[in-house]
Amino acid sequence: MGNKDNKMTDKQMVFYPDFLFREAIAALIVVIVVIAMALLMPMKMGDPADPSDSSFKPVPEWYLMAPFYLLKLFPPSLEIMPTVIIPLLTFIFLLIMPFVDKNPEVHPKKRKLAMLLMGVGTLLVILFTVIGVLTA
Amino acid sequence: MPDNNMTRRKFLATGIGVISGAIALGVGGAAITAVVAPAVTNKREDKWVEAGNADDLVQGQFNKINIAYDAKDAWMEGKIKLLAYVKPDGDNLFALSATCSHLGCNVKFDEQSGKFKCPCHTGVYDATGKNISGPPPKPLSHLEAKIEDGKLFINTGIKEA
Amino acid sequence: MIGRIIDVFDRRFKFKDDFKKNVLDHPVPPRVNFTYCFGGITFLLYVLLLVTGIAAMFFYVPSVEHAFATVEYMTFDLPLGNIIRGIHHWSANLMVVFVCLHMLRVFVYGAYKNPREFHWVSGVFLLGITLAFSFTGYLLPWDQKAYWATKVGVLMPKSIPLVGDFITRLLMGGSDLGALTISRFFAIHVVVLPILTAVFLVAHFLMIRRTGIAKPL
Repeated sequence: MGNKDNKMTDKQMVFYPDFLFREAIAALIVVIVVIAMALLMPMKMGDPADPSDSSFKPVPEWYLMAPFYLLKLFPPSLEIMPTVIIPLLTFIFLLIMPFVDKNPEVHPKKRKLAMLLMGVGTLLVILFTVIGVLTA
Repeated sequence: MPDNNMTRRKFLATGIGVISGAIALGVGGAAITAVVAPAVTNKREDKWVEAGNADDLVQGQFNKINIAYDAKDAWMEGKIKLLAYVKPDGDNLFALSATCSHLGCNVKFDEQSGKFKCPCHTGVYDATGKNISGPPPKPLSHLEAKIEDGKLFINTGIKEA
Repeated sequence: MIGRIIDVFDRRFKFKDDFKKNVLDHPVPPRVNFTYCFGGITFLLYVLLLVTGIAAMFFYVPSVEHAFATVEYMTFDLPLGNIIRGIHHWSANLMVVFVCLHMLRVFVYGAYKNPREFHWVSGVFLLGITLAFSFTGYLLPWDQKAYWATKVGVLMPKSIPLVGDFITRLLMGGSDLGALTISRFFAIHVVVLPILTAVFLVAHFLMIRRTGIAKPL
């Protein structure tokens, strides 16, 4: 445990204390941020649920904005695409990805197709989220 | 007599296995059935409820009707709330459910264009409740409505349009 | 002092050596950077959610009549209630962020490849569980936002031919969003999903122990 010079050297590290302490510092920062958010942005209450109200405009949380926005894009005949097919395919695609991507290389520069696909997918999600938030 | 012993052990193992399996299936099955059951049994009642005075209705226009009636939802006795649009036309009553056929938000009647608009995903219906643009796959549901003794009554049953 | 208390227990349970060998001294590849912390941060946020969630359960009543009032009581009257709710809320938001960052990091570093395919698979399930947590938790305050967002959500499977209508009814526990919807969402949120999370997390962590962390590029 006595390796003191483990900053960014090529030395093998051990979980404790080398890695755990870095993790702990990062985690502490996040906890402080969460508590600060809770203090600075106190929770409020909306109005009680009213099924007979038509003036309320529902907006989902930001992380569900992308699928919510997709719902607007498809015509009635293709309604099943945004509601079921696209979410399901995304999930299945993520699940089987390690078995489809047989390329043994790990460096991004040697995995151009995989990086491109994931990049486009990520950008689309961010784009839909941003458009969704702006048009909501 | 090792041979005899083995049969005995095998018999016990099989017996315990089968009985435990049956119990597991029975208890698990009962739990799942109980959780699933309300999907079939807990239905909105198909009944006529009072929804205000007939005199308050404006002729030839869509009137927004907030319905709140006593009903039982599973164990809970309480008010169930619904929104409907009712247009009296002479002696006829034309009533539409406000529930968007897309994903269930309440549509709003836009006086200027004479159309129903859904705030959620920009679905639009014409004044007969027909879906004319946006994602809604079906027209708005028609509701049964009648006037008796100066009161407006609406049937709450869900009718597939 | 703490060391001595641990020793007292170690004399009975003999866990110290195993713990040191299997957890503390586990090798970590050199040159790991800060992006390797995302997974641990996600776990920590989960612990925060668990603690604040348990505290919230002392006050919350999952029924159409009481849900809003109990959350309102917690938010405005209960000492520190607003903070508990706030930490739960913001941890949940950051959880989604860090799950995504963690997955992107693992993807870019190619860390999902052999022999770590099932680390990734269990992680994808944990992503699904996280979103299910968000969706079921969103309904519980029973305010306007909760009601309409849930209505949109549960009606989505309705477009599946034949079984869609049944799935929607199953999620709602009937033909309308009501008494049974809130109790089943509550049960899923506080019992079913935490158990599933525990199962997949243990699998996730044990597999990482077995293979070690993927080497940096």
